[in-house]
This record gives sequence, C-alpha cells and structure tokens, in this order.
Amino acid sequence: MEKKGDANLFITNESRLEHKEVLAISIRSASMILENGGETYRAEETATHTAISLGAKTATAFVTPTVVQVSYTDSKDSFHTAFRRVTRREVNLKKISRVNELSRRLAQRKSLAKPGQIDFVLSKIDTNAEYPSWFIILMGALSGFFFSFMFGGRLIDAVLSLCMGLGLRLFLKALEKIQLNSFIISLFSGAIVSIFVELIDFIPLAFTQEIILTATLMQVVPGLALVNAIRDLIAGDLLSGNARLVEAVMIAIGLSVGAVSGPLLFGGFL
Amino acid sequence: MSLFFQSQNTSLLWNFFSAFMATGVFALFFNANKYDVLWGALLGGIGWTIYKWILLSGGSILYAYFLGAFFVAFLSEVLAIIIKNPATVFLIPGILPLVPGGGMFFTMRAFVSGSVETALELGYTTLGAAGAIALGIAIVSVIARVYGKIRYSFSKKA
Repeated sequence: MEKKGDANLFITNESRLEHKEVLAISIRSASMILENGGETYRAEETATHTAISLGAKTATAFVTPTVVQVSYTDSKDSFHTAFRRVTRREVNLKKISRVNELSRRLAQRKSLAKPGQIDFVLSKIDTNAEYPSWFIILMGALSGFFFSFMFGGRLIDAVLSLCMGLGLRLFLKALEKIQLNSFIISLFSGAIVSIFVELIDFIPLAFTQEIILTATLMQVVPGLALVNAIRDLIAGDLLSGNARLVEAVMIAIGLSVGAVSGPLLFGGFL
Repeated sequence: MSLFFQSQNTSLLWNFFSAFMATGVFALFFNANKYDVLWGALLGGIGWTIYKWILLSGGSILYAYFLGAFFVAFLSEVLAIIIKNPATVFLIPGILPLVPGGGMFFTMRAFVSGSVETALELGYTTLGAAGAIALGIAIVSVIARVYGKIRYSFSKKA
C-alpha cells in the first residue's frame, strides 16, 4: 500500500522530533486496527493516511498479522522507517470503527494535521472504548443462552449452556494474564467444554447434550479469523490471508483435539 | 415447570429472534458500538433465517450455508457504504451463527470413538460448510472491491 501526498503539504522544517512523531503515530494507529481484529489491508491504509496527513511525501506500509512496518519519505526524499511487533490480540469492534473514522477524516482533510491532535484522539479511543470486563464475561455467557435456542434447544438447555459459558469465560479470563496463543486457548476451551458436558451428564434432567455443547462452543469458533482471512486474500494480501487462514485451521484443530479430553477422562471410549 | 421441558417453537420467526438475540449479545461481547450492535444482530438473524429456510424447504445444506453467508456479507457491505463504517464491524458478528463450530467438535469425537464413517461424513460437511461460507464472503468482497474501484475512478475524472 503506497500513497503520494499533496505537494504543498510536505514537512518543510525537518527536525528529528517530527520524524519520530510521524512514525510513532502512524504505527500506533495501524497497530490499533490490527490488535483489535481488523483486516491487514485496513491497517495499511490507516498507516499511510496518517503519515500523509502528517506531511509525508510518500508513505508505504507493510502489515502482517504479527508486525506493522511503516516507511515514508520527507520533502528531501530521504527515507524514514520503523516497525513494531504486535503480540496483543483481542476483538474490539468499537475501536476499529473509531480508528477507521479518524483515518477517513485524515484522508479527506486538505491541511496538515498536528501530531499532538491525532495522538490525543488515539489515546481517547484507546481508553474510552471498552465495556467493563464483568459485562463482557456476562455477554459471552449469555450468547450461549440464545445460541442454544437457535439450535432448537429448550429452556433447560439454554440455562445449562449459560452456566457452562460462564465457567468457560471465567476460565479464559484467568488465562488471559499469561498471554497464550490462540491455538492453546482453543485447546483449553475444547477440553473445558467437553469435561463440563461429561459432568452435567450426572444431572438427572432431560437435556440435549449436543445442543449445549454446540451453543457453548460458539464463543470460541474461529469466525473472526475466517472472515479476515478471506477478506485479506481478496484484497490481495496473500501473506496475511494465508497466515489468518492457518490461524482459523489451528483454532479448529485445537478445539477438536481438546474435545477428546472429556470422554478420555470419563471413560467414554471404553 | 412444563415450559422448562417443553420443546420450543421451531418456526422461522423464532429462529430469527433467537439468532438476532445471540448475535446482538455476541456483538456486545466483541465491544461493538450501540448502534452497530443492532445492525450486526439484524444481519445475524437474516443469515440464520435464510439458512434455516433453505434447509426446511429441502435445499442442500452447503447451498444454505453459501446463501446465508452471501446475504450477510452483501448486506454488511451495503451498510458499510450507508453508515460509513468498516464492513467487518457488521460482518464478524453477523456471520457467527453460520460458523460450523459443533461440526469440528463432533468430527473429532467420532474419529476417536472409532466410528470412522460418521466422522468422515461430519468432516466433509464441516469442511464444505467452511468452504461455502468462505465462497459467499469472497464473492461479495470481489463485488464490493470492483464497485469501489469503479466509483473511485469515476470520482477522479469528475
């Protein structure tokens, strides 16, 4: 993704500080898109728009699911480059849409933006855009409740799925501190869900095991990875698209391998 | 207490409602904006209702997955143009009811428990479902991209 800036707006009074700021801010905006579940081509667009609006002559960005690289030229045609490794990974659609709105406004604007201004807006987006964590845990659990109705379950299935979802969410929240990758997390989730299902088998109530399992698992299926993989592939980012596709496959494998642990523990295969 | 064990109504309206609620709740789980939640939930409901409708009227399951994903992706691109938000914000929650999460789980279980035929059948269906969803999203992405390029080149000339 390369873009040329407006000839009247290039940085004229070069100082080391300004180069640092242009790079830091454009990398920050791109990694905010990437960390919160956006596509890589959107991160590249955001980085170039930000750099151009801060006075770069040309700006190029190369983003993969794990790294953000931004390079731009100033008015004297000398290159400035920096990159940042991205490890944090969560989903925050609000941040994606806010940063995207910022980048759209920067692309439309005719005058140079001030680095402090953009940095301030990004910080505001970063701090203001999250629901409290108890709310998120509750919503994750509640999704299992409605998903089990969707798969044709009854109220008892829904309630059991809600309890299991809550357990799974709390477990994953506890794991969040040690920052595991998506494969290990999905492996654990599959194991937890399958063990829970074996445990509630002891409850003498008429419920459908398959529905509860499927509804609870909907929380951890690789939907996001699949969507982003295809959108990246179609956008021409073959590298990122492939990486995301492999991520989706790895999550699926993790879930299914974890699924075996319940029956293994409780002798389901005897 | 009878409601607790009674089999639920399986009409399309009930399907739409439960998918709507599930997707909306999941969009909140993904930290979506208040208004985006509503649109994402609507897309999730529509996608699942189309899938269910095709299954109930005797269509093939892969076609049902494909058409559901196609409509969700198409409507999310339309919404992206109208509301000026990235299409992913609507697409990620909206596609979720269709993702065959249970399929992978039960495939592996069937394999380990030795019923290879069930496992192969489930595995093929799951892989096919993932492929059909991918195809649906891909076709819409291509359409959106071509439309975007055409619009961009026209606005440049003017």
